[in-house]
Amino acid sequence: MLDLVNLTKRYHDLTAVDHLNLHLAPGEIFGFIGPNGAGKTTTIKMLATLLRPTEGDALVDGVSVVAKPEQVRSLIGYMPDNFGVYDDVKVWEYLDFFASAYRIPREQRSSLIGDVLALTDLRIKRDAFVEELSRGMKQRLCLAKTLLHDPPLLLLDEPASGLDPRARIEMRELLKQLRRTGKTILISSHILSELADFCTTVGIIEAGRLVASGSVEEIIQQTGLTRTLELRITAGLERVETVLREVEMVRDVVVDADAGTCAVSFAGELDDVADLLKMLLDDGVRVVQAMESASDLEGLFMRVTRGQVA
Amino acid sequence: MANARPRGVNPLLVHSLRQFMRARRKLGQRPLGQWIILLSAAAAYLVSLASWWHLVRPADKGAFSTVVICMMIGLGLMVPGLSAGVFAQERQNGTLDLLLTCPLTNRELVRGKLLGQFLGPLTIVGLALPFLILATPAADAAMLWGATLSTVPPLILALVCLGVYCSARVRSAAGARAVATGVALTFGLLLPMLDAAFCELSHHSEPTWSQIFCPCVSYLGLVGEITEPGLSALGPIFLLVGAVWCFARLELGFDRLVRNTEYSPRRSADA
Ligand SMILES: Nc1ncnc2c1ncn2[C@@H]1O[C@H](COP(=O)(O)OP(=O)(O)OP(=O)(O)O)[C@@H](O)[C@H]1O
Ligand SMILES: [Mg+2]
Repeated sequence: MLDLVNLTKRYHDLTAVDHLNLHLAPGEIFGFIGPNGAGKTTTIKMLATLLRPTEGDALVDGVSVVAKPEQVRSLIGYMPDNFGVYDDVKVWEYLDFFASAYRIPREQRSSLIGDVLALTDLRIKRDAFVEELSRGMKQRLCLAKTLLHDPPLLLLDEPASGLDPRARIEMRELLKQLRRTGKTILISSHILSELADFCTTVGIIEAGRLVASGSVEEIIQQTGLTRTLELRITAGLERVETVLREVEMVRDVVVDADAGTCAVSFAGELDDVADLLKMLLDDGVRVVQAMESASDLEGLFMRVTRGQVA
Repeated sequence: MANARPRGVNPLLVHSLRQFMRARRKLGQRPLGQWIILLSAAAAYLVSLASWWHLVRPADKGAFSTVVICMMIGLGLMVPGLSAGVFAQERQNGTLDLLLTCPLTNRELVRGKLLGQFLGPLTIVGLALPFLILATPAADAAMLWGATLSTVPPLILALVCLGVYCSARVRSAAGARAVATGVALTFGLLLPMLDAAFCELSHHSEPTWSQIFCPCVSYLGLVGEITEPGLSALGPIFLLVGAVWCFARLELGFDRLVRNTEYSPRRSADA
């Protein structure tokens, strides 16, 4: 669906994106992760035909963004990280404008607008003025706009930036719904844990270069990082350490007796968690909650990137 | 081109029309109040038109050229600024990227935005036209209007080209407007004025208004003693061809002009 071939962008003497190679299969949700200034926006702008690559090319469904940008434009839905809205325009008029710009016949527009508004949960705002929407609503409106022409590839540049925690969650739910529609999605963020649970693959970019890519599992394997499992235990906490120390892949066990919790670092796959838990339960340790710590992904991110900027 | 051929009305124009009609909202909160203001404005317009009719006696009709010239200067100064606003304003508002990722052709983009931008000024010109027509001396009407219509449209087109070019290249809207207006002032008024002064000093005939408003003619006048009507008539034609050519180039190459200007990433506030 999307192929980047040595995609490069140089601004004068600064190389913002450096020979990026990537392949996205149809239906893949690719999380594009990197610190500030890593080159995410630059890459996405090149894919959205807004910037011409200095070198290399990108193919959207086999169509080159360099040679045939006009054709690419109808294949992509692009949501910029920062965008403005027009004054004096109502929500449905805003969408109607973009629908007509995407050459959607007039007869189909109104039902289509109804559909995307329903999907983004903005139906009650249909007749509100765009500039009066809250930031989260504007983001959703922009997402609605990118869905109008039903593009097979969505390019979302930090769709959750600037949102409060609640709106972030809502945005995430919305994106999960989109995943079900079978679209290929490239979504950028600088927070790995935000994307990890719903992207099929992630790529970590730093200083314009892809430093790691694959599923989160694969990256953890590649980097030899341990996972941290947080357990909540109501009885048998004192036995946990002795039980787990015997397991080969467990690297460390930290028990917090007051809180009734225990953090287990281990070098294994996600699937191995089940074995660990079974072992504990068999031993009479009552584990009531087990989850992989999010700070782990942060650790992964910190480990892979070095804080360099292009 | 893979996209379906553009059909129907330009989407950008429809969009601008909607915004234009909404401008009524700025008059007040209540629809009734808005209509009262609009209707009183219309009444005031009709009253002033009627009094103009009575005031302008046949002898005063020579006022035409003064009125026209003042209007032309005003308009001429507005045009580059207005057209420089089109894309620079979109860029400043952060709406340009969304617009440019739509499968609109360059021609649709440029024409739609420009027409939309000129909706207001065109309305004003339309409203002013009856005043001008009433003030035209019947005897010279054909000559005056002929001269105006042959010079003004190409001149405006040239200024529009200048504006759109600045709009595509300069990042801020205010900057684009300033550059376009500055260039237009320098080349459209200042130099011809200097030239006119020069003509007078070097014993030539008095500068004609077409010399003042049509730089090409003035420049020709600077080279030699070209004040014959036949040759000055070439000026507008020359200007028209030049302006149309520039505009066509601009429309076709608009893509390269506006898309690949390096964007300035505004950092988002959250960490
Ligand atoms: N128009 C420009 N001119 C010069 N340099 C630029 C321009 N735009 C971006 N850059 C540089 O390119 C690099 C990558 O920027 P980019 O905006 O792609 O980063 P990003 O990964 O999107 O960062 P963020 O997470 O902050 O959005 C940065 O070093 C930036 O300074
Ligand atoms: Mg960015």
